[in-house]
Amino acid sequence: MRFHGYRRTDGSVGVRNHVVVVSTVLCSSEVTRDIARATSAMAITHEGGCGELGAEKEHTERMLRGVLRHPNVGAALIVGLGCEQIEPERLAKAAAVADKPVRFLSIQECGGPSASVRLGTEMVRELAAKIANADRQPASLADMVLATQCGGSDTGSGLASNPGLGAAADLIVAGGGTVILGETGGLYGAAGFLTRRAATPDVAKRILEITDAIERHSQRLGKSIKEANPTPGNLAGGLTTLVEKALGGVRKAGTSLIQGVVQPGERVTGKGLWVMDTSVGIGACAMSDMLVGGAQILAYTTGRGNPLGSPLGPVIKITATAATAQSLREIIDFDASPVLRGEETIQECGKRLLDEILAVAGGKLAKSEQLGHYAFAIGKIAR
Amino acid sequence: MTPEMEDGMSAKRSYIILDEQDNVATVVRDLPCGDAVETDGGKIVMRQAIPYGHKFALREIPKGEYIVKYGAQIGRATAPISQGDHVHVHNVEDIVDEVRKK
Repeated sequence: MRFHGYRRTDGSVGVRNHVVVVSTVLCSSEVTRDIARATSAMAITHEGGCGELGAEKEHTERMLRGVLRHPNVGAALIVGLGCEQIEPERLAKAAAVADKPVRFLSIQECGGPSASVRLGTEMVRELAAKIANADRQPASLADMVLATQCGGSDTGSGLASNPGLGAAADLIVAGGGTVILGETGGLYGAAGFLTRRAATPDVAKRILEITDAIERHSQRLGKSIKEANPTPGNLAGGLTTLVEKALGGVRKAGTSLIQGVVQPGERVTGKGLWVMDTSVGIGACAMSDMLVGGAQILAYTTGRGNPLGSPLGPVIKITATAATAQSLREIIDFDASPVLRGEETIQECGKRLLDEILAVAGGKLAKSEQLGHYAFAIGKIAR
Repeated sequence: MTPEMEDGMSAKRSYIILDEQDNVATVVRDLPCGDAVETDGGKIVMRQAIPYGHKFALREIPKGEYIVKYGAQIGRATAPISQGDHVHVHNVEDIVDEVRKK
């Protein structure tokens, strides 16, 4: 159970060696995208970076620092406007601490967008040349951090894709690696069950706190998680209760003890299974939070099919619905439908999925990468 | 343990049992009323039609008892449930508040 990856000075191992172009603020995102397009670098853009307060501001800063420290990032260009809350110089220090080549520019000092794109393009080419000779070295499951997510779920998700991914997650934890379970709203109905798997009483308390907070947040916005679930589609598909739905969802992270609860985008440094209290918003927010937290790969189960990828790392799409695997083969990496046909046990499916995860870790492009689908988003904080 | 069982999970052609403690199975193809399936506990006849993704009872579940799937309590029977009965919102209530703080 090995793969070859890029060893970083902080001990982490990257499965990609990207140059990222990071906008500090929404105002510099167009220039950021133009530079990335001209150079094939990965653009990291978002809607924050200025006019934010408290937990939102902290979250944006934590996310951008996390991007620069990420194991899949070899070098970075930071693109600022010049008057935003998040200062490019301070961010650049985060990358320097991680011993990565980093440059920054500000549009106001540079003489405008066109001059910034020209200068930024040159800078990215220099950065890319600096890291071009990095070699992949042998790594083990103990070096792996896998994030888990689900979206566009259907009947096959809770029966085969999620248990299959969970079996792979358990193998990674048994091999000394790390797995991240996020999507706090989806944890609500399974919270009691998860507290019984908490490594310490404090972890159990945190699980109840974060799920209570997301329910209060949902109620304030007018839709209680309890009232909204299971949805009419869930009921028609055979799900009877919110607890059943939630248990089918959390199964994707396996059955290990939960070692701790971290903030959205916080670096997970421990081994074993960790819960991340991901930010609120569309699926790309939780995806970005968990990848920023140090996951090199995100495994995403989907019944209906979803093309979402991330600039930070490969997103592997798993379905157990044979029709989806066939009609959406452009976006599906792994077919778990043999479990539903009785041709494979859940354990066998998990082993086959782990082989695919290791192949992608070693350089095989996930479908999301082949398509060039790279979404990044910073969500809101539930209070 | 039959050859199909592994770590308490069984994968059979017409239904899946996700944990050996479960008292319900989920069907992976539509089962008409009267269809019989083989289980470790013997043959079970479907007392109603069970659509794809829905659950049937593996054994009798008295009113007030828990429905168990994934090896965990997912709801409570609101009516007596017989082996082979369709198990869904008509005979099960959610227990989310109770389970959360347990």
